[in-house]
Amino acid sequence: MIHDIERLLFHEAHLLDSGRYREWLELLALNLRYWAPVRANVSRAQEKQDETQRLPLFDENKASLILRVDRLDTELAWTEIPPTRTRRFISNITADTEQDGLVLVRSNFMVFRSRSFREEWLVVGCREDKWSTGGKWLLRERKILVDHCTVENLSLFL
Amino acid sequence: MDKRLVDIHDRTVSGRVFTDPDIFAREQATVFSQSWLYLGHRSQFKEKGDFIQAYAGTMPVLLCLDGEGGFNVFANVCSHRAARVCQQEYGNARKFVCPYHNWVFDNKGDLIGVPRRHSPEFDKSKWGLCKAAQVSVYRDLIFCTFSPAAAPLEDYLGDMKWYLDMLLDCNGGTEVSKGTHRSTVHCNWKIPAEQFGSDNWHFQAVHCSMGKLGRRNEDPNSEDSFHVWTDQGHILICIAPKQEVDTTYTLYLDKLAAEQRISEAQRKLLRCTLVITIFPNLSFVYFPGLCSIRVWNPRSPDQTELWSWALYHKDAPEQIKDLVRKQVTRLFSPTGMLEQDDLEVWSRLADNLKGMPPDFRLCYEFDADPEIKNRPFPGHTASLQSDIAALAFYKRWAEIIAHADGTP
Repeated sequence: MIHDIERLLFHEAHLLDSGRYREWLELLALNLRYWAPVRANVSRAQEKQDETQRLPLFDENKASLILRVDRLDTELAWTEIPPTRTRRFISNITADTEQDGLVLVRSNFMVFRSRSFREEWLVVGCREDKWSTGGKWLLRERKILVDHCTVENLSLFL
Repeated sequence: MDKRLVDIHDRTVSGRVFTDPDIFAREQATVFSQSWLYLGHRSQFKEKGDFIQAYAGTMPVLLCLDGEGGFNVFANVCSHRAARVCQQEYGNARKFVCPYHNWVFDNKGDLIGVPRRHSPEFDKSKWGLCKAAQVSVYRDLIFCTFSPAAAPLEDYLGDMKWYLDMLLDCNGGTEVSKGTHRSTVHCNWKIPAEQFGSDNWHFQAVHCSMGKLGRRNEDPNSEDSFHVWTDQGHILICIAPKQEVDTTYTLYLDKLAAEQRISEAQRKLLRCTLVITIFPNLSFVYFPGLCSIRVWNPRSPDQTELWSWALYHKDAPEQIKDLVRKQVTRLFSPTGMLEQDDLEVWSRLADNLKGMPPDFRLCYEFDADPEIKNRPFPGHTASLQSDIAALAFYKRWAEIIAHADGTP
């Protein structure tokens, strides 16, 4: 199974780095929850305890992600004109089967971003996914933990 | 030379205002030391001893609720060797122990302990942390100033109180979301501070992708759309809705009427989009269903750190709070569909300006519709299609900078 999961995440990374967002949307389940808690500069225990209460960086469902892609497709979303060059590295992948056919997938990511002529930065973090399988892999839940307390313009999907 | 930093008559602003390190240092010593600065919200304090970290201009500070229920503001910088006294962004503490040499300070900023034996002449009372001269609260918003001579906060807010009350006045008050959005903005702090209270024009240009998706309900040409500026340099944009539509939030507002002490005129404006800057660096953006409160922390002439929170009525139903939090996250956060475009435009501004000759000046000439002044609202009102509010912000800024130097 781990090879299937690896192939899936690498395919997803390829779609996102290539700007093929409509195809990426097809990997998302209708009842998707996609969120990224904001980090806090406090003890590990305190940070974990407050995590769900803090204002997140992403709090999305499939409809709101479609809206984000629709916006990019207007060709008027200046933050991505011309598009930011991204290259993502997905690693440390683990997979465990949960109940109801959901597979819990953990992975680390490092995304290199290059904008305009010389603006370059990294976005680094990890993800906890729940993928449903039943012929086709569909993303049901993704929690993204970025390792930055102060971030740059996050005009990307993680 | 300095008189020309901001020229009210030919309506231009020098590019140096946004790039010059000497001007940046001077505005820290003048604008940020004399003004009232927003640091935090009362809802961030539940118990005695609660504290948060904040910035007063470039100075890292702690805002603490002491044992008597008073708010204290002091530099989070040890008086001994300038180490950061407290590292956690929020928490609860009766005292702070500096990690460098273990000097101990109470939550009023006084030095209460030095671990090593010291001479009898050593006077602890001389070595407390650098304290704000005044701390004051307006409708749950906590401000400080480092000027003992500063006028009271309510006088400072002046005519802008009437507009802030629309957002803040409610039985039970307001609260901010837990957790802070922090992002780096690659330009001088004044660029976004100015834009938030004065730049209606950029809405149609830089955010046009949302307009094309039918996600904007604003009519800048309406009679009810206008700018406000005050002599203290506070500025505001009000844009009336294109269509009066009932939403979950406007229905909530209707129900809320009995809980608020605001007038019918104020209530009507709560249907509008409001974008406000309280001089120098506190801003709000509001429309029915979204409210963000934010501080543009200056870091260097060409870098700013934006800290922002969602703001809502404390007693609002969870469904309303959730709506505001989601809208803030999706539109006005580092991933927000409106904020992203602003961050993009601002990101190369510092670099652009540094590439220009020292006599390069920016245009603040627009006043397309001069007759729609003098609306029946507090403050000076101006046409939305104008640079008048932006210029008022720089006029106040230049007055403070010039005055401190003794130049006219």
